[in-house]
Amino acid sequence: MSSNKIVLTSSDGESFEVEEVVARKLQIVGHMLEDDCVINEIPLQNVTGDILSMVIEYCKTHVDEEESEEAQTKLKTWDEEFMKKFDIKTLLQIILAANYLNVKGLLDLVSQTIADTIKDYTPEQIREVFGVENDYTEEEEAEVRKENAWAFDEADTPKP
Amino acid sequence: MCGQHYTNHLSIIFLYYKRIDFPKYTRFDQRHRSMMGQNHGIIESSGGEIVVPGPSPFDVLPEDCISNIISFTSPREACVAASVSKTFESAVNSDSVWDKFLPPDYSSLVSQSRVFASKKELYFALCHNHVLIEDGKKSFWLEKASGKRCIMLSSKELWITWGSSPEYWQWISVPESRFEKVAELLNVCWFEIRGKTSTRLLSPGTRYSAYIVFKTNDGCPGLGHLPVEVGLGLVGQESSKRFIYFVGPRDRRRGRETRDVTKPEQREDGWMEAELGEFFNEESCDEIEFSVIEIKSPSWKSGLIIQGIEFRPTKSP
Repeated sequence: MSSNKIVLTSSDGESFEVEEVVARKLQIVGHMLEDDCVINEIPLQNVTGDILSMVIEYCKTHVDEEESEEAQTKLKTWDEEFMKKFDIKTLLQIILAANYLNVKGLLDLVSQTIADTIKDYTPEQIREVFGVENDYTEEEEAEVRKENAWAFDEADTPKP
Repeated sequence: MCGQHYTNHLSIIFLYYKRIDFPKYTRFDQRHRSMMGQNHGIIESSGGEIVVPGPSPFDVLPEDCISNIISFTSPREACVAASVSKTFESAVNSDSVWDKFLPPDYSSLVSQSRVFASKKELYFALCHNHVLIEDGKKSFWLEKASGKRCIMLSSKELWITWGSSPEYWQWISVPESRFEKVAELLNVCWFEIRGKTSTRLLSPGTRYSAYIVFKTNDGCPGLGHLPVEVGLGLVGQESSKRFIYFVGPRDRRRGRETRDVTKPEQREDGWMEAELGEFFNEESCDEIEFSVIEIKSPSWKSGLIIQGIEFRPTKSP
C-alpha cells in the first residue's frame, strides 16, 4: 500500500495531510489522481474545513473495508456513534460534501440517518427542520395532499 | 458563475462565525436560518453586525440527494414528504426512490405486456392488484405503506383431510376469489387443515401474521360456534396455539369461557378472516407450518368456503 501523502485544502484554506489511500476514498480525488498522478495538493472549493475534517475521519475509518462479520459489526457501531455527534443541519452539510466529493458510503449513511430522523414527521415539521420553503399555492398543496391522503391517514398507526 | 458566487458567500459566513468563535455553524439560530435562501444580499442586523445569508441546505441540495434520503424512508413516509415542496415532490416521484421500495425480483412478478409510466406506478400496481404466482397456487402483492411482501396460499396448497373425497369437500369456482378453485366444506366430522410454506417469498427482518380467509354458509353448522384450535410456528420449533371462531360463540352467557377465542373479522374484499398467529421472518430461509383443527366435537360440520391462508406484516397495536 502506498504511503504517499496528499494535502487536501478546504474552501476556507484549512489543509489536511492524509495518506493517498484515504484521499482516494473521495472519488473526486481518485479521478484527479488518475488523470495526473503527480498531484500532491488538491484544493476542494465547495467544502469547508470543519466539514472536510469529518469526511476525512469517516474515510480513515473506512479505509480497509474488511469482509469479516466482526469487522463489519465494528464499523457499523462506529458509524452509529459517528452520526450521533451531529445535528441535522450539520448532517445536511455533510451530505452536500459527500455528494460533491463523491463518497458513496458516507452519502448513504447520512441519508439513512436523516431518513430515520424525519420518520413520522408532518410536512410542516420537515419544512421547519430543514428550512425548506413551501412553494405550493394553497390549491396545489391541497391537491398533493389529496393524492396522498392514504399516507396521512395511516400516519397515526405506524408499522413496526 | 453562480457556483463561485455561492462559494464566496459561504466562505464569508464561515469566516464570520469563526471570527466570533460561534460554536460552529451547526447552531445557526432560527432567525438566520429563516433568512437563508430568501435573500442573497448583505443584511445589517439590529446589532450592526453584518450577516451574509446563504441558501438553506435544502435549497442547494441537489434533487438526487433528496431522492437518496427519501429512498431510505418508507413508501408511506415518501408520500407524506411529497407535500413539503415542489422539489420534494419531484424528488419523491423519482424512479430511484421507487426502485428501492420494489422487491429486487419484481420484474419476474409483473407481466411483460404491461407498460408502466414510472416505477412509482408499477409499485402501486403491485399493491392494488395481486399477482398469481407458482401456477396460480399463490397470490403475491405488496403492503402499500411499507412495501413489504404479502402472500396468500390458495386452498389447493393446503393439506385438507378428506379434501379429495367429493362427498365431504368440493372444489368450486367463485367469482370473488382470486384463485381458480376454492375448497367448500360439505360435510365432515373430522375437520383438519394443515399446511406449510417457505418464508422465501416474504420480506426478511419482518414480523408476520397469518390469517385463514373464508366465508360461511347458513352459520357454518356444527363448526361456526365451536372454538377451533389453530397453530402456527417455524418448522422444527414448537408452534403457538390459540383458538378461533368461524362465526362466534352461540351463547353470550358463556362469555367467560370464550373470551380467549379470536373472533373473525370482515375484510374489505368481502371475505372473513381469523388470525392463526405471528412469527418473525428473520432471513427468509425458514419454513413455516400451520394447522386449523376441530376433531373434538362429534357433530357433522358444513357451510365453510376457504379461499386460503394469507401472510402479511403484523400491525402494531
